[in-house]
Amino acid sequence: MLREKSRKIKTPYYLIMPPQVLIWVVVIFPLLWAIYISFHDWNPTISPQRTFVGIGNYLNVLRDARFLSALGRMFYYSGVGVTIQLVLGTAIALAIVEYIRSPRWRTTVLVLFLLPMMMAEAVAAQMWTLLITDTGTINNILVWLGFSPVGWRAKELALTTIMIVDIWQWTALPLLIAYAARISIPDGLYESARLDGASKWLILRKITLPYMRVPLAIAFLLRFMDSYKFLDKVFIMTYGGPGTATELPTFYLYQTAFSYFKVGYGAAMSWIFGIIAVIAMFFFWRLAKRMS
Amino acid sequence: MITVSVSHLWKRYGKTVALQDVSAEINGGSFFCILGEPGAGKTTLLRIIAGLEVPDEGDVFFDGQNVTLVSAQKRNVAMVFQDFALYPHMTVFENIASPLRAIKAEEGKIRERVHEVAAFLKIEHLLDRSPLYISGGEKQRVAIARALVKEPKISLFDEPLVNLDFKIREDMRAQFKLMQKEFNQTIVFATPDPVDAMSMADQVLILHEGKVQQFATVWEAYYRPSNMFVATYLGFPPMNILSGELREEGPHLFFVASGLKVDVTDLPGIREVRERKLLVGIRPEHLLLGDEKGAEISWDGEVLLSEIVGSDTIVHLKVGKDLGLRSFVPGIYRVAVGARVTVNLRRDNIYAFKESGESVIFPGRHESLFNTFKG
Repeated sequence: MLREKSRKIKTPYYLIMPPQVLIWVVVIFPLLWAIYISFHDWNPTISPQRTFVGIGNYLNVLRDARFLSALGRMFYYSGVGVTIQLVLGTAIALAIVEYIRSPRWRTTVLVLFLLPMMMAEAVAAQMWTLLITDTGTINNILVWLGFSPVGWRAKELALTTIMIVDIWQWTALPLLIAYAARISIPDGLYESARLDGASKWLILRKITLPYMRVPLAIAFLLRFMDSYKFLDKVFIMTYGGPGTATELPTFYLYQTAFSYFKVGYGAAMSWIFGIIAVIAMFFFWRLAKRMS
Repeated sequence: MITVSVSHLWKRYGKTVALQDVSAEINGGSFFCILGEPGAGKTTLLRIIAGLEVPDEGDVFFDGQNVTLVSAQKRNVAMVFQDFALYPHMTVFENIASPLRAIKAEEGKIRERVHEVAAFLKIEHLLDRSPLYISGGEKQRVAIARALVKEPKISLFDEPLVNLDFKIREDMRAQFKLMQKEFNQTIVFATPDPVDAMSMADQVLILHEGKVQQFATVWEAYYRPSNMFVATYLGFPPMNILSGELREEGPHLFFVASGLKVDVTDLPGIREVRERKLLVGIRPEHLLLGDEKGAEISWDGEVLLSEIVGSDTIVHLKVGKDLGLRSFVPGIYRVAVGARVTVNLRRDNIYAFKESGESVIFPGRHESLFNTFKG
């Protein structure tokens, strides 16, 4: 009787054991290991010796001008880039619904916008790298149109160039979410508003946008998370350069840990970077809660 | 208050013809019902009047002015949708206020108007609530309040009662009538329920498959139906229809239908009927049970079923050779199944139709009688 009971209690644990083991081995243990490492100075290419430095690594990261400016770039890149993606995506979605009536044409246009998103990040990055060289196709077209060529990969512009490529590729996601949100708004509300004599602008402000708030917030969150961990295009298009002009925290982190092999310092940096993400999410959810 | 008229409206959606040559005139200050089954074209007609749709052919006039191509924004028409279409992200107050906000009315005037209308509809206690968390009847009132608040030229209601339960529906009918008087409104009311039309409407436009069947006052449509569709549609339970033929025997004229023989010699108008095959209609409320004094026609019937509906009774009878008839008896009438009863009918309550459905005999034919009905 008792054995029967204890077996009943244990069964669920056996069932969830395999994923548990996996999570402990590949997620939780490495995280804890990273905390342990972050309190040490350790370069495995020089010696297996780890020197305990306490919170020294953390203090150094917070004082590291290179890290802070990478963080600044990240906020510029994410803030401006994601905002543009969101505004542009929403505008295009609303325009599609407003001006394209035939379902077939709508699908066609949507698919066209979605195509870049289907492309692997690395492929898109490689393609654009070729397009934006100083004598690349884009500049050739500009010259042909009578403009002067643009130094897309120059120090001042490089990060913005990557941002534009990212906008080209990822505007489709907020577009798709905004489109779905827009077509889920009952027509009756619009007809009601028209009968009330509301102008198009008022209808946009009072019905469309309030109604799309939550889906758009989710689109923002998805894109922000993606751009927070963004690495691929930087890696392929500029490798952080020229100088450190396109160095985002993820790239600097990668360099620190896996090129310079300052493993303890890198671990501390990744924890700080992670905590910033948690704080950002916390504020985001507070905002989202207040909105709904 | 304006007079709205529509003339020769046609509207097609792909292959379906929603409206076919619909014309009508809606007098200012009247309660106008568009009556028809689902798919009859009621909503399309309302939407054309509102300006949400443009007809393929035909015109809409507001006080003689052609507004066919004027946008909905500029018509100052109010419409209450079947699903109410309340803005879920605004409070009840903001919902009601929205038409006034759209025309940028003063804040003070908005408050005053909203409270005035809310007080009339008894929804003042809901003003701070979200429309997501109020009952169907309350949503209905909010939608009506939103329509009333801007003092529209004309108010359109698209089947506003169908989503409500029986009790509230009864209540709302009275409210609609009161409201029309109180706010001096022109109301166009689309409904599939003849009871709505009969209890509220001054005039009724009966649609079937996009075609006008009859455009008249309710009583005229009831006593002088233009065809069998109108006759059976108006009235509950629907009219009994007997298929039979006219037979001449000497100086007498009889209507014969499965074992029943009715002397119709003196029925006004019967001599002008050319067709021999006829459909005779008898309203259940005109079939009286028991020993009726002065009954002109009496049959023996057998009770098949007695059905109590609300506070009235519908008695299903078998008359003659297997002829099923329904009789409507006011009040609760207890009668055993299988009982024999006498079924009485006054001759001037007989309706008759050609096989095509066109009316040939109806009570309203007798002008004097009709005038008493009109009351």
